Amino acid sequence: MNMTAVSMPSVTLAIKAKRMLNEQGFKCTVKRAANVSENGCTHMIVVNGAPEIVIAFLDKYNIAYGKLLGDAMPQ
Amino acid sequence: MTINFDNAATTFPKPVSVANAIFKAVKQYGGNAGRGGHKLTLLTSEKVFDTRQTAADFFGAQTENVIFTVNCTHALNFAIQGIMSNGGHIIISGIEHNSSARPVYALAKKKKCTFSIAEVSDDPDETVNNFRSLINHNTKAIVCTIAGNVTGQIMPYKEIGKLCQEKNICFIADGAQACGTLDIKMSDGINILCTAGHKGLYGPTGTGLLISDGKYHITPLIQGGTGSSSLNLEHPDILPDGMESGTLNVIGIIALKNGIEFVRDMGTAKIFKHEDKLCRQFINGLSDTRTIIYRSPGVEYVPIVSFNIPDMKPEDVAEKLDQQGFCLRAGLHCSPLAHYSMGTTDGTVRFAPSVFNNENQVESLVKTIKKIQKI
Repeated sequence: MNMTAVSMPSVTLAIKAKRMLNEQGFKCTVKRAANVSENGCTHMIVVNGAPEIVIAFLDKYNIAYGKLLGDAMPQ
Repeated sequence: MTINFDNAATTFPKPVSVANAIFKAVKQYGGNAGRGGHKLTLLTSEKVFDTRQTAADFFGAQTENVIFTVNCTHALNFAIQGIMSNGGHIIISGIEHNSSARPVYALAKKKKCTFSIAEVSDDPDETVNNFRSLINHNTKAIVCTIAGNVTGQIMPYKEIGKLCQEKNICFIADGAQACGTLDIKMSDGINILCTAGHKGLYGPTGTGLLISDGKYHITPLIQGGTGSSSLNLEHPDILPDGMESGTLNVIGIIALKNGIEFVRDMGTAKIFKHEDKLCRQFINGLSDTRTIIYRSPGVEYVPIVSFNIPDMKPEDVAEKLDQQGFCLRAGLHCSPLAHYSMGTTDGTVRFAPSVFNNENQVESLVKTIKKIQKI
């Protein structure tokens, strides 16, 4: 199963994305992602889905996001 | 016995669900929303989001465009000063509360904007035309209350919204006296809705909302910690973080959700009907007295009645009523512009029932007012 982590500009948008993804059957959690953002503290969503699917979902629902976090994946 | 008829200032009592939510929030949701990543903060962030979502659904907005403030005055200041940060011309109505009029006046005094005041007529079309006639090439915003807080007059806010859309002007609506009794939606042509959480939405004091439709950028008045983009000295631009610096009133916000749900579940139409009935009972009960009621035929009002007793100062009337256990507010109600146009610069006494008042209480109040008038 692909896991995708995406940094989010705010905890509000992270929770919004999580809830919408959950509604669509994705398992998604919000986590703090300090040290992974160029700008400092941020939250991220971790989703059980392929990156391209997750990004397409966020684009479709016009939810602003940061970047894919390849090095922030849970071990 | 204490009966509150000053619900236009703040509703009391609150629904039991609001009180219970405050208790639960104090006991369980002790994290600082949006700060850190531990369980407590994430749980609290989720609860804050719940209220944001509830408010967004109630007013027809995007969740992230719901900004928590501490009251309607703060929301209006954020909106007015944020929209007018690059100057321009702004129009306010002639019945605006000081929470709109003072920030506009302060900006003008510092020569950061110019402003005009649109006269409010009993005829809605005339009022809209008054706004229209004041628009110039530099007009950036119209600030108008949805319902005045002195008489409760409902403004033609949807038509003003249309006018703003037509002229590409930001419409900042003050919903303090309307939210909870009228079905207000952002789709009514409102670009920025400012309202209190503690009035018709039955939340705790210390809660307010600024809701944007996202069309106009609001320059934040306050910069600081947001829990996001912390390496950057540039304050984040994104909503809601950009407008919510510092720790939120988490407990109040969590309980506000229950207040909004209380209104949503009962329905604004039902609440309006109940309170309006009490207002009519109040007016009819005093019809055989010399009481001056500040209402005009054919004009629509939210459930507020301003009145005076001839040869008595409003403050004296309110004091006598207070001695008998009735809480009513007297004075200018922070709206001098309305009183200038009404010719009541000594103020009025304001009767403002809530959903928790009943006919027996109104009957008792009417009897007491008659007694004060020695009828």
